Amino acid sequence: MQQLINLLKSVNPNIDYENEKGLISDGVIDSLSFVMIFTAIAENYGIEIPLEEMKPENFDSADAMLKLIERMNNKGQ
Amino acid sequence: MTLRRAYHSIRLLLIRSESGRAEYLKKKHVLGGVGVGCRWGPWLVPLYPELIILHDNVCVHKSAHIVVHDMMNNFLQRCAPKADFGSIEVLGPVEIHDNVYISMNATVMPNVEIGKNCIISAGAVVTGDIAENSIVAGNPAKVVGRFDAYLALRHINASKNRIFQNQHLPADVAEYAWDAFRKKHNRTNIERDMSCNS
Repeated sequence: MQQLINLLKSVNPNIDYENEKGLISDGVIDSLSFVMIFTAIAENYGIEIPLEEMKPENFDSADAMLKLIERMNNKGQ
Repeated sequence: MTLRRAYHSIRLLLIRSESGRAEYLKKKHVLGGVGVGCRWGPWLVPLYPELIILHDNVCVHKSAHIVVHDMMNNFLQRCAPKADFGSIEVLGPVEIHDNVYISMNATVMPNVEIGKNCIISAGAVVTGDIAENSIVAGNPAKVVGRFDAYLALRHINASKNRIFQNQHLPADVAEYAWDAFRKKHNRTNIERDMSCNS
């Protein structure tokens, strides 16, 4: 989890990723930050995120993103 | 302009939809190849269209340009009359792979291959090959983002948009767009019709 938090903080250090639960739904991160986060996750974890997983609830919190990454990793194995 | 090119350009002018124009180019074998589901905006058929290949779902905006030759040798010959440049014209085919959007006023120069899943931003001048999954901008065009990230962004923001029929904008949808604009720019009021005030 800490690895993901560090990655997210490298994109935008001013967000409380540990506690924030509405990153997308509440507009906490802007479009550009989202694109950078998506790119960082895809490149750092070497995963491809399919269309059906591109929904707000999968990116609303660090916890949700971690679960998404784990799901994608399990799929790839 | 050759008669064939002029004829096809006039025919394109008479076809209303971009998908219809792409189908025409495919049916008449005007380009080097046209895949499935392409959209072709320009009314003017480019010079040497047989040197352009579009794979599936390639969209070319009506003000975009695809260039497959240059006349620099013709110019240089006049600069240096004693030099030998060979042909006055140099050719360079263009191949555009699946799922590529060429935006308004973008230019694709000769000898360029654009990989699948790419967006060529407005006004970009593409002078070299573009790797798949890229968004490029500028002159010369540089990679500024990833296609999959942009697709994800648009997908998760889908609920923020209002659905309406293309080119027919209902008043409530226009008002919704202005509301979003006001919110984004932190404005409480925007004069909608300035001419009424004068």
